[in-house]
Amino acid sequence: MNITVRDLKLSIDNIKILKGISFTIPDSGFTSIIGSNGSGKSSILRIISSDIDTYSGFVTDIAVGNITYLPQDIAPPSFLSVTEIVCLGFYGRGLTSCEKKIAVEKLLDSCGIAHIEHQTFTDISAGEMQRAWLAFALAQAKNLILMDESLAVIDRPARTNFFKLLRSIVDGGKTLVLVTHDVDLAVEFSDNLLVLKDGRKLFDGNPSDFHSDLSSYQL
Amino acid sequence: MSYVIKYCSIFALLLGLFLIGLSAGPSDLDQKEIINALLKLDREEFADTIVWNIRLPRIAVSFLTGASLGLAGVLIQLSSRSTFGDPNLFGIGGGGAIFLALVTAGMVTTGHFASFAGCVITSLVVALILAKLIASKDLSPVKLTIMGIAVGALTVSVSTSIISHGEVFPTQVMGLIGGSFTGSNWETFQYLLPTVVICFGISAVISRKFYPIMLGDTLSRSLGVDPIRTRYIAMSMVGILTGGSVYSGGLIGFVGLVSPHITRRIFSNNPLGLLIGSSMVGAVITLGSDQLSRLLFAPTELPVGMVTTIFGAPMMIYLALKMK
Repeated sequence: MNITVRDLKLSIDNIKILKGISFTIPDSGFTSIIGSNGSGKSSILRIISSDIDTYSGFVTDIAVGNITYLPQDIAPPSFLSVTEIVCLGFYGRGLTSCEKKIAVEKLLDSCGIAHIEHQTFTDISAGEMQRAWLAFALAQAKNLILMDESLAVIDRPARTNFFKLLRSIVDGGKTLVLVTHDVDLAVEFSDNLLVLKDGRKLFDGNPSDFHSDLSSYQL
Repeated sequence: MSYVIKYCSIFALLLGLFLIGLSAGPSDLDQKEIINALLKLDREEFADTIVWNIRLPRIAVSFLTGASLGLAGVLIQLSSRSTFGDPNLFGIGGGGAIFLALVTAGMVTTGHFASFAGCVITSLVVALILAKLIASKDLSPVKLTIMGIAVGALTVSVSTSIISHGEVFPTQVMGLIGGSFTGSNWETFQYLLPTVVICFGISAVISRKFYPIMLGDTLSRSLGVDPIRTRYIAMSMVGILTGGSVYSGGLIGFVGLVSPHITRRIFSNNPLGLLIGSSMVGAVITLGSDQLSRLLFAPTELPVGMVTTIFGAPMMIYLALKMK
């Protein structure tokens, strides 16, 4: 199902966050939402995932049960290990502990974090945390993943590798909507691009079209 | 170390404290007298009264009070994600204390059971007010801790004012605000036992829902668990358990705060294991503190809440230092 958004407006504490934007996110592929701080990117994810319901305008109603939403500021308790976090992603799926163990190992492996499985969340890097959250999201086995990575402070090579991982997950059949600051990587890896500025839409479409004309956009 | 050994160690500790509670005290009884009284071998009235009407009920009541506090503490911490969750620090026990203060000061006249029920209900009200506050979306665990401590201070000042106004004996004030098991009897035990069993049962049934809540409300909803509903159930249990503990032992601080943290280090993060472990650890701490409070300066007794605070407050500072 495509996610259609029409004339979306949102104010929080009398500050206009979104000023009437419309776009469509196709029901497959990798969509990136970019824009400067305060442009309203994160709010869009929160609205689609029903975390905010005080908006006006139309947004395709998707049941919470069909979405995995990873906010930017998840603060897990410091005592949980990477494996325990990923295990929590299987909550409510009715797997036996043995099935879960095998599935967790597979996910840790495919997300490249098998070597830190016993470490707690406070002892790993931001990039590793992001991979752990991704494994947690994949454990829920939902088709649509909304991920907000706009706060993560990660060095360039690690970030590129993370985008490669995201690309391979999308190629495996998932739909991903990613909020990010990294314009270059978003252009390089995603299928669709949504660019926001001050609560308005600046660009919506194929990343290559945006790239050829990058200089005319003042992000 | 396997779970069997860990649980056995806790049981051994409880048994040791039970023996101390039974054999040591200001009235000089030798082992033979105690065993005879315990097994009802001879009807020597003095030893019989000391063992059956003073020492045993005191052990039983302090055990259940500690279990209530340990369970209430872990329920607050699991449901609100607050590191410093403690039923008496957060004023939930203070609700019950205000009611008991009114009774002690003679402003409310009730029987034993009505006092117990009144204590439970007033604590439940404070617990539900806190649950309502946590239900609002942007309340962080840190804000909850600050507000809880403010509510706690408020309830203590209100109950102290009521008692002062009522011109009662200082020992009664100490017993309520400082915590004491001096007047423990089997009647109190009879009220506490079903309360703890039922609250534990309900908590165990909902314990699985605490897994997703550990990750915060947004992710919890996405995993299909309504965090607010679960929190109301958990906080209701906290209110009932704490009310019972205040009736039986007064305001005993920090047991609910430290028990879950100790349990986490000994056992695991599995919520059901935490519920069981924290109740046991709470019982060990309270029973142990009561032994210190009655024996350290015997025949004078320290308020048991002062002993738990001496151990608990530094632990709270340590936890705060470790916070990121």
